[in-house]
Amino acid sequence: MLKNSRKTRGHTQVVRQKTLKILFVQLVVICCIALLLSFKSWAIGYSALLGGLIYLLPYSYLANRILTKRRITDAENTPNRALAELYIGQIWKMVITAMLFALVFVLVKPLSPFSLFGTYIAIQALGWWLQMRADKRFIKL
Amino acid sequence: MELASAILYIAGALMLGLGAVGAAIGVGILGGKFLEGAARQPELIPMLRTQFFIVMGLVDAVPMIGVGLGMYVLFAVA
Repeated sequence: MLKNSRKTRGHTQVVRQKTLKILFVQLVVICCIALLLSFKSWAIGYSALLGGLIYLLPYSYLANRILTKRRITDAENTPNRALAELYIGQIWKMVITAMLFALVFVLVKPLSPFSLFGTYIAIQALGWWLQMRADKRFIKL
Repeated sequence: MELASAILYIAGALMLGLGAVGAAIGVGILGGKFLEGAARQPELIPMLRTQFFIVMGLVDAVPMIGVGLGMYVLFAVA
């Protein structure tokens, strides 16, 4: 059992490294999209940047919270406790995303919604594609 | 003008609410399966946690787009 537990913790570290790589690629793509679109219009460029960051910041928070290497005692490693931590992280991710959307829509003007949502959706789709590409057994369905 | 504004608020509320319903169903099923797996093999909890994290990204993607569109309708359009 102890050997299996060590093996699964190693799996967490592998996933953490892959997730960090995916986040880095996504950040680079966001910057490239924003740069390219800013040649067309400054507002379209920063809207794309904001759309990408609205996706990336909460996702990075959740990844950091769930995949961080930390000591967990056996008493804390119960299914209920683990699920509660996952749910709390997910709720915070949703709250941060909603707050960022609200802040951008209230504070940033002028704004290009097509650029913002287009980048947001494109970066999400890129994340799925990168996860599939990183390892075919990454998602064991 | 007031009717159009009211319809926009209803549209935004529907987007947020239906997105929340979809996310709640998906995350609830996911959490239930996590508990089943963890109860059967507790030593696999770290692996199940990472799988949960990955699949959660797929489950909540479309609802969060709905939340964003709803926020846009509520804050910027209406």
